[in-house]
Amino acid sequence: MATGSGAAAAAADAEEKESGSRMITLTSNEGKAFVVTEASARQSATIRSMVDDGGCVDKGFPLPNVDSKTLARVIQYCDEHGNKEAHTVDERAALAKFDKDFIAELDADKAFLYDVTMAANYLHIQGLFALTTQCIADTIKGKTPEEIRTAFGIEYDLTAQDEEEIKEEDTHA
Amino acid sequence: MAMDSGWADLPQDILTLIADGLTIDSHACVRAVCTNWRSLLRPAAPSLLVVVSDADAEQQQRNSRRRLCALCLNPKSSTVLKRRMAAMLSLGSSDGWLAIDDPILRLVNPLTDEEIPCIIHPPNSEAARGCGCPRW
Repeated sequence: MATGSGAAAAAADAEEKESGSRMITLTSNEGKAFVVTEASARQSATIRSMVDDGGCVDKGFPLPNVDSKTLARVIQYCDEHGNKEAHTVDERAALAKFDKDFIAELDADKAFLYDVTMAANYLHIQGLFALTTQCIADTIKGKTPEEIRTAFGIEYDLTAQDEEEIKEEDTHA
Repeated sequence: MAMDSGWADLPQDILTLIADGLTIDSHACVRAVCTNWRSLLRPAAPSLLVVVSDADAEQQQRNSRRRLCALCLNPKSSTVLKRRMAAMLSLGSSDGWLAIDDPILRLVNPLTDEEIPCIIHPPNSEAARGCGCPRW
């Protein structure tokens, strides 16, 4: 991954000559450009279909729903999964280790986990979306509603009527 | 970073996807988190009722009875019904409700244990003969 214009373009050219693969520019909602390999960008089904449709590859892809911090993290995932092989047991183990560390960091910062989940959903990055939603589910499992609120920083806003219904449902469970 | 991230405003499709993978207990907890999550998720109700295949069920089947098990939300998580329910003979099910004719015809929600008695005419009454209702 490279950022900026001049250095990025040079890096893109070098990369293109070396590997024969195209470089693709993704732009965050703050206007920051991220140059990635096509293999990396193709982790996103949204971008993949735009590339395959012969869309604006040269002009790059503006992503109005994704901020720079989130895009950088998403690209980190796409680089790992798009550019690395996963044929041997060792390679797959390395990717699994990457995923584990990647999600552990997000798990510790739930606000960022939310942003990355939304970006993975918007960009249709299946593996990343599965990873983040699994993390959310794991956070919920075995917790009381109060503990779930604390974990995600959600404000308590249930009405007395809701509480009445919940109590009612509890007696059935 | 402050926790003002909007978890309460999680889109419905994502919340549903996550909740569908949870056990029925966790699903109920998710619905008790905040008003938005509560409004986005339907109450957990068994969507499919199947016969469980354990030794107990085999015994039940020999007695022409079916022990029912509710498959809730996700095939991976199921809820075994209360013993009282398990011995009942079901005539059919829809939307999580069972039609039970033992000893009287009624609709039963196997999860919440609610019952709705169905009033039918006695088999020998004029009304029953008149409309040709089969006796269930």
